[in-house]
Amino acid sequence: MTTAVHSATNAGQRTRRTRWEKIRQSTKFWRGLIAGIVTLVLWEIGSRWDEWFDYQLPFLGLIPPPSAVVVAWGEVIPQYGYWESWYLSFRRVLEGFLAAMIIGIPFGLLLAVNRYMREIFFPPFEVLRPIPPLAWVPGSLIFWPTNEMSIAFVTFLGAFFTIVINVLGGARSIDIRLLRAAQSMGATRWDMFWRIVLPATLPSIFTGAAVGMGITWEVVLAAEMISGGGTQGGGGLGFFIWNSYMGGSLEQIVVGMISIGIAGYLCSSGIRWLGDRSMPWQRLF
Amino acid sequence: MNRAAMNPEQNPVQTKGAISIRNVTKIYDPEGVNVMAVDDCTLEIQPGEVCMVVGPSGCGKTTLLNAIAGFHSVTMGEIYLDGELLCGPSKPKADQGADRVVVFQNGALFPWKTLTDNVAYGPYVQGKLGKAESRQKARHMLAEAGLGDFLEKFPGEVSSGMARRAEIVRALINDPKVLLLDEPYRAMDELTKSIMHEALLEMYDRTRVTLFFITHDLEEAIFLGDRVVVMTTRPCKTKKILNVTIPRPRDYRVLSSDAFRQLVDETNEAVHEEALKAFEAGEREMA
Ligand SMILES: Nc1ncnc2c1ncn2[C@@H]1O[C@H](COP(=O)(O)OP(=O)(O)OP(=O)(O)O)[C@@H](O)[C@H]1O
Ligand SMILES: [Mg+2]
Repeated sequence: MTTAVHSATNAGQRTRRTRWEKIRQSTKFWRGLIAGIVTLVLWEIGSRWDEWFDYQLPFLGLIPPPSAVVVAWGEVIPQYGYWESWYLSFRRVLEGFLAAMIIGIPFGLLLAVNRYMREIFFPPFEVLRPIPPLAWVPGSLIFWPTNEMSIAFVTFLGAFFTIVINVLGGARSIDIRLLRAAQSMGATRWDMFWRIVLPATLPSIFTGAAVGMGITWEVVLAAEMISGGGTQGGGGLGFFIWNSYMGGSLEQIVVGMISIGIAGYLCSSGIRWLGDRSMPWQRLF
Repeated sequence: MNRAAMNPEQNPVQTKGAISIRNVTKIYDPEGVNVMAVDDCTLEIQPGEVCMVVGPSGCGKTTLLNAIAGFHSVTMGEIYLDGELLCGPSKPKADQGADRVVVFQNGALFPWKTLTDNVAYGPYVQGKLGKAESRQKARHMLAEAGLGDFLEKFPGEVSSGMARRAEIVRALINDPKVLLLDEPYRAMDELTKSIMHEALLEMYDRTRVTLFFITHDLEEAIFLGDRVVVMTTRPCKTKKILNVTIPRPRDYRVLSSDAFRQLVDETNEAVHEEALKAFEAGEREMA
């Protein structure tokens, strides 16, 4: 019976099981798990200290205990507004991020391969780059007709500069011997661009994307808090936190913060996954 | 001396791939500081010759190779391939058509391509073969070079010796008139090196392609070469040209023969003299 079951399992399942076994047997896994549980327990005790001992611990006593956060989370999960906040923030991040990629990657590559373009565009670019995205918020609120557009614009800027500078740096530091090798094998300029410059720049593109994605989340949330939840624009996880703060719900603030953490993690995992997929040769290192 | 004449039964005489380097001077000019890398260098390389180039580090060997490859122009003089101007003061010949292919110092396989795709690159981008055919031919040639088990590996996954062999295959698939090798076996252990030498000689016997081979290893130079060109310290020109009359095919037993040892001594003397000069020049610059 057992042998029959065993032979029936296909290779894929077998690998998955061994991987899970490997995780279960690793000290790293247990250490991480125990550390997490201990932290939660200490946090719970610390936050509830005043209920039991009539004394509020500094700092920790002000934070809602994890159990209360879980309860608050349970309350918001069925609510439409909570998921709409997710949706709005996600949409803004992806829009800004994609626009930054679509414009930033070709722009960075253009600056890298063309000296004249670099001489013309690089100085103004370098002047604009150090300006923090949030410093653009007031100006863009005035300039763009709707709040939504100004949030999109600021989000775009957050990722744009990082992506361009990474693509430019990556493409400029290509080993010249690779280009010469291609040239000596009879590659045209077009071939060299698509088959050498682009793949050689991919690692930098993904580095830029990962960093840019992080900045986009920061910028979106701050912009949402600033622009507020009016009828035009607003909403989103940033506004969710701000709203909870105004309503004095500490638990919901924490729920909002953890939600952002999860959202950011999902996005960076996505980028990592894509990077792994498109750069199989990098997995060896 | 033409080897084919010595072994007439073995191989046809190569008629293509004569390189003529005429009074070439190359001065680098980064920010107004003139660095003369090559000074009035003249060298005639016969079709199908194995020309080994040795010289002190930094003397300008790579510079000369880059000029032959057409990667940069020269300040004065010309380089011809079979009577056709390759490189002069105005501009290097732009369209290459892969008549001379380079194997680089430290290796330059494309890290994002598997060995097969690396080798298939040349015929594919030149439009000689379609994607499938070029890959087919690449697999065939790699297997011939003993890399049949590593066809779909990335360069990062194979040893440096295998990578170097694959790189030579990548050059040869283009059927070049000239193969330019820049210290291809540097930093390889002796055992790997001797296997690489045998593989290279075996390949050479089949193709009779002209080899322009830079090395620091004098024994390697004499073991492989028809002629060994000793370069002076920077700026480089030919100091001494030794004819290696040891008959082919050669194997490792040649290494212990008297003729071989004598050639090594002779070369060593010339190189040592130049290395000393380079060292003293360096001391002067430091002072
Ligand atoms: N692009 C460059 N710009 C300025 N100077 C250069 C450039 N390339 C090489 N040089 C200089 O020209 C001289 C010759 O360099 P080259 O690389 O040809 O030497 P080499 O003989 O190949 O040395 P090695 O044996 O160490 O490889 C060196 O002094 C080097 O500093
Ligand atoms: Mg060199």
